[in-house]
Amino acid sequence: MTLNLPLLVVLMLLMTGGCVISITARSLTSSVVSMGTAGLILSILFLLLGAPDIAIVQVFVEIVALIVLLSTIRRETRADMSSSGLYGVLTLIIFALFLFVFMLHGSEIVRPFGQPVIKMGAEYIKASPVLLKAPNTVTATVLDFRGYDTLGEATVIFTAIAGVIVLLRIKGRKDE
Amino acid sequence: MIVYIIVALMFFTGLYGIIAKKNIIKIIVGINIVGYASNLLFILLGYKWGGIAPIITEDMTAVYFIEKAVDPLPQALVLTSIVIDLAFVAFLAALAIRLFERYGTFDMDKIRRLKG
Amino acid sequence: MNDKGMSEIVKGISRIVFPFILLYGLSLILYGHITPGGGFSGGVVITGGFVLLLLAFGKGYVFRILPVNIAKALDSAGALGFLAIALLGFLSSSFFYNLLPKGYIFHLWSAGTIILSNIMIGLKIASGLFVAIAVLSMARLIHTKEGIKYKQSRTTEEEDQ
Repeated sequence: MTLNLPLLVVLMLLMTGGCVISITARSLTSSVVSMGTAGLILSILFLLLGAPDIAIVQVFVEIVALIVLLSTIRRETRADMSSSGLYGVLTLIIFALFLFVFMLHGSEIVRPFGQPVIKMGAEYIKASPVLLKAPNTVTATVLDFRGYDTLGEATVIFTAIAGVIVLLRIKGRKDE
Repeated sequence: MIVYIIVALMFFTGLYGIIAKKNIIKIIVGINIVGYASNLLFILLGYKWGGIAPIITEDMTAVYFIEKAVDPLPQALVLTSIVIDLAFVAFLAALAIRLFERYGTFDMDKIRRLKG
Repeated sequence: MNDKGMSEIVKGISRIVFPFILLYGLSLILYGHITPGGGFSGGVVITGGFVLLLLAFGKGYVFRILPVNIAKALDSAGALGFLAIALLGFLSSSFFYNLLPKGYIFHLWSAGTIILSNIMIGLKIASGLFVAIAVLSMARLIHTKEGIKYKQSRTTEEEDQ
């Protein structure tokens, strides 16, 4: 299936709609479920943009994150009636203006969509099937050319899981 | 250029959730949406028209593959980022459970009021 | 995620589907350098299979198949194994040097240390995320006279005591 610009724009607008609903919805359940919708559309986008590895990961990560969040909000049955105060909106406007100036600067150096200059990636594409005999360039990049990244990523995941275990432990609390 | 504008819109939606919303679950959802937008931006920057996945198959010549393949470097970065996002969501859910145990609510305003 | 699990229909379907999910995850890990996939994808898929069992059969069944302490050990083993493969490069020249013979392209045993790294990363991701979700599912809040209290239950047997 070939990708064209209208299809891409429609899918991205659908995804943005899911994001808006998930932020503005009153019920926490519908908020989390529309976040899941946005994530699944994102995985279709990854598949169309030539990244099947990431599409597989995104589908399963989305489902597992959805289950984690749904089992967390099971405790709270009340709806989210909190209104965003004037203070929050003002902070957002200042922040958005600040980022908007950055994006204007960035739009001068970014290439038009669909015509990138591939510098480092071109070397990986050339070297991976010849030097490493690995047809999948992404795996070769993750585990061989850029192994340090993956080592750091493994450390981050180890730390996050240790944080979950420490936060939810019951032994060793003396303040009761 | 329009695709980058939509990505920026998505990013600001998530930022609005993080800054202006008072519910912890909404804040976690906002963080997730900001993650989606930045991951999508990386993949969009590496795409070229008519590109194929950077995986060579047996019926493909090397010249055709080098000419057509999209950039594998952003894909490698995003691959690690997505899995880190999942571990981060689990960590934030653990924090939310702990806060709910202490205060009985997910609302940041009530938690702030109950502190003193 | 209650202890009894879901209805008999869900249990029957997940009993049939679970081996195929596991097989798909293992295939993604082993053929990660030839086809789309790799350690990350395979590990997340295997975690998804275990989450399906956790939802369908309850906690006691899953923790009998894969106890949390063993999963924690596997998590550390995966991380240390990846580090060991990286240190193996010092035998030849430098950190992360790919010193095994490369073999032929499109064969399973090719690309040197990439396949070993894939297996280690898959082990690490699958067991690590399983530990996180298992700990989250064991956390439960109970209502007492003083208010809401936190309680962590290891298995169903300990809960009865």
